[in-house]
Amino acid sequence: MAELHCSVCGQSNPEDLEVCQFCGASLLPPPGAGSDPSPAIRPGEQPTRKNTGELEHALPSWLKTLRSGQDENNTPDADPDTEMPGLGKATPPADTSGDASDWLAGLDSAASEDEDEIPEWMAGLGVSTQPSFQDNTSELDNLDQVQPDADLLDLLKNAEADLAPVSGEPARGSLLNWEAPHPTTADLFPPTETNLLGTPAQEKPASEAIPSAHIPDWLETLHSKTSTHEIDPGISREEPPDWLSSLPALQPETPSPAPEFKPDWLSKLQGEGDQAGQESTPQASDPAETPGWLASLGVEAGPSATAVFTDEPAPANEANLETPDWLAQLKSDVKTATEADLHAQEFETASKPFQAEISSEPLPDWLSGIGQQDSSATGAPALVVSGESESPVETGQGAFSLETPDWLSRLRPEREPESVPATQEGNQDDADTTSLPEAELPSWVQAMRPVESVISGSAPSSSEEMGSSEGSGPLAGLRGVLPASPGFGVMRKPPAYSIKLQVNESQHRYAVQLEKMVQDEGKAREVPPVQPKANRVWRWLISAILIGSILLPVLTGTQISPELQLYPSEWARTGVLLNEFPTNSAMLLVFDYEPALSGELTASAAPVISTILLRGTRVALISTTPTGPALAEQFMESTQQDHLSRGTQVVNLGYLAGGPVGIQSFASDPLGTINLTMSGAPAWETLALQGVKQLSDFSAIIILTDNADSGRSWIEQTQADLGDTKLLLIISAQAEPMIRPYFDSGQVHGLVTGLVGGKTYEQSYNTPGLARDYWDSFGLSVLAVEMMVTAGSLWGVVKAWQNQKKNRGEA
Amino acid sequence: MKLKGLFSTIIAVLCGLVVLAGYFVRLDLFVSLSRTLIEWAIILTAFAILLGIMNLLLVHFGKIRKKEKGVLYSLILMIALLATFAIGLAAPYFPIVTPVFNFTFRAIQLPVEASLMAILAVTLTFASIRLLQRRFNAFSVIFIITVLLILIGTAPLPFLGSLPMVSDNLRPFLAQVLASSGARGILIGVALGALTTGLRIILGVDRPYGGKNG
Repeated sequence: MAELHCSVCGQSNPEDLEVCQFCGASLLPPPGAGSDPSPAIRPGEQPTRKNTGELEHALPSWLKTLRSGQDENNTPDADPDTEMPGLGKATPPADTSGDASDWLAGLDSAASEDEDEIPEWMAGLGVSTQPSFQDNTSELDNLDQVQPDADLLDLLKNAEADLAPVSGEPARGSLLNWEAPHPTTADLFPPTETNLLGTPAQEKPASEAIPSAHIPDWLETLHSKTSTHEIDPGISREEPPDWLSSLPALQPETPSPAPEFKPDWLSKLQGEGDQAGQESTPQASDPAETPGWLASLGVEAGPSATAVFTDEPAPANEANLETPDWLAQLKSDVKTATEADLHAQEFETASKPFQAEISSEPLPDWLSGIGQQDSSATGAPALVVSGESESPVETGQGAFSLETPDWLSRLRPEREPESVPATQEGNQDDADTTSLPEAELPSWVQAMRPVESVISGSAPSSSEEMGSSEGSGPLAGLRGVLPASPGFGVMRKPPAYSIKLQVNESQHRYAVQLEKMVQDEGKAREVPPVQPKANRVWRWLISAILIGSILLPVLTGTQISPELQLYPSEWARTGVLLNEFPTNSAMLLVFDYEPALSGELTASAAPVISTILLRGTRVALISTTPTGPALAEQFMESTQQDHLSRGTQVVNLGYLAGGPVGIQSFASDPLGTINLTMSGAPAWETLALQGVKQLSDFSAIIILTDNADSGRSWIEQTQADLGDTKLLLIISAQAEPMIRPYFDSGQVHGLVTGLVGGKTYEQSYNTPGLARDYWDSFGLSVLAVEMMVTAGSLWGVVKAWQNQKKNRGEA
Repeated sequence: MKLKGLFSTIIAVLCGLVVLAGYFVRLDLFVSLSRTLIEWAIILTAFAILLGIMNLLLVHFGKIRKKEKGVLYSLILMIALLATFAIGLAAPYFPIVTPVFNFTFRAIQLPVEASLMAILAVTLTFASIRLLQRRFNAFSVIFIITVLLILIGTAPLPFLGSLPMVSDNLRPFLAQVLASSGARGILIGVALGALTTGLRIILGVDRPYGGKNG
């Protein structure tokens, strides 16, 4: 099933619908849309000649009138392309004789029908009631042909008298702009206000048209005054006529002009007229010299422009029935646009008849100045003599194309059924008019169409597409200029789309995987512990093995380790030193080791000290560490208790402060460095230190140390003061590498190193002691350590080899 | 240089020169001056130890007052220190207190430090076992081999005693030749460094007591 797309909202509609079910716009194609629309006539382009004889009955009466006059003045061969019928020529009275050409056929009947519809008040005026556009333009040109009619003023008075019972707008509108059209008014549109003026001339035959050479006196006078721009100051002081004096009484009845009802373009146009009028007639605008109503009249020069669009309902309706569609629509729009401004122009429209009266007879002085003022202001004389500067054709063209505002030029005259009032009902020409296709327009009508260069982009559009008409503002009366609702298109409820994502199974699976990956990235990675249990176990295992290996010989009392078979190399010199140690001599015993290593040093030094003490040696104890004196006390009490009980002289000199400095001081001046013993007695007065005045008085200095620095300090600082004193170092095994050089160099005379040194001394002198007690445990624990280190090292080698192999495999 | 720095530098240089002259010039003046200066240094060093003890007391007293972490240990330390200090001060004048002083040493300090050394033995053993597992390279292998050789050559093997070629040749070579050679190099370097430092201080180039380069 075919669908129709709405040109407004774009929605698809069933074919059988005539109105869009979405926006209500008509779906019917605009007239002529299906056929080839008549394009605009381009400048210099010749309209197409067509036979429109059968359409003559549809022509409006004013056109028929024009044609009749044209036939009389022009030859039948007159080119309609070059001479616009009814526009530039003086329109003769409608000749309804049957000798008219074929294209004027049916003109009489149409005219008779139009005449039947003329209102009575208009009939009383004896003017044409066909305010068609072309008619107005032609009548504007015929304005110069108006003869001074003595009855015109009377007719106008009668019309004014009829103004009250009849709707004011038509009467006033018909009398508008009599005094002076605005310059732009004459150019923009055919001056409708000249309808009344031209109507008498229009009814006159063309032969009666007065050429420019036969301008009547009153009109010449008017022209002369217009050209001279002179205003008689006494005019304003004169009393207006009686009928004119009643005009101000109408003023309160007129509604106050509402600015909001005036379109901007109209106000601007009016303002220009005001400005021009003020510039040209400064005296006339003086309120002190002119009546109030006249002053405002003079200021309101714009009404001439607005009067073009004044509404005349009945004549307009008649014109719509007989004019082309586009022209009728345009006119109806124009009328609609000016409806809002009518009330504001009542005053001006009411003044028009008087000016018409003035123009029809010798004008009073005061009124002639008005016409002079307005004509001078507009620059385009209200009454143009035929054959003057511009031809009627040019005037008509200018009115349609050249001077038309852009906004109006772009508007295609609409054909809106709703705009046509009910007056069309019962009109038999209605069907004929609406059925007239635009493609069948006569050539002369085509020539009247807007030129494309001026009215560019005026695409034909139906009234339905244009939407509703504007009721106020500068676009009042225009239809479809603005969208019906805010925005660029028709507002409608947006289609509802489901927000639920339509995914298939695979996409859902991928989304789940992606979500899981994102969540995993946000989680903190758990770092596995670095085998704390294994280390702890291994440490406990190592400790157990070591403790077990140490306690096993002690608890069992077995000797699993054989005696020392190889003596250390330093034993030869140390043994000789101990063998040559003098008896009853003083010995300085230095305890410079930490309590942690007391087990090793005690076992190493105990047999040596014991051997020395056997020779009656006196001992002086000293230490360079704070814990040294206590260690010395503990050492002597624990290992040399037998010697002490036998009266061995031992004196504890205590702590020697200052490190190397203290050693040096003590070496250089023992008496001056240490005066008191640990018990507070004079040190150098004790039996142990009798005969000792200096360092060299000691027979030997035995240094027990586990620290190479401490041993080095004693060696270095006492080297100058030793003399013949022997220096023996009993050191820990860990200090051997640093102390051995001093032994090898001869600065140290004897050296006992570690448990091995003590065992060697015991074994040499066959005095078993601590060294022998520790010997088995020492040997077994060291063996355990050797085995564990060997096993661990082999496991490490294998593991490293596996790691390398694994890395190579991965690479 | 400020006057204060200049003054201190002059004092330091003169003291060094006097002490040095006491070694080389055996004049009574230099010797006596040298000994006097050295005695002053010993007293200052001993007083520095006392200042260290006082500082230790203040630090732990602050921890106790602020109730920081380990207050209990600080409290035990302060109590033991003050008690030992009091016993030590009373021991020379009150002989009855001397056995108490010796007992505290033998019963507390000596076993504690010996236990720490035993733990060190276990730790070193464990480290030697895992050495090649953690760091398998040439130096680690050399280190392990050297340790094993020294241990085997030093300690008697149960039921075996000393190993031939290891205890009498290899172990002495490692300990008395290679190790002593390295130790001699170190000692010579230390001696040269001490000499240079002494000269720089005497010449006023280095001012560790305060000053531009101090």
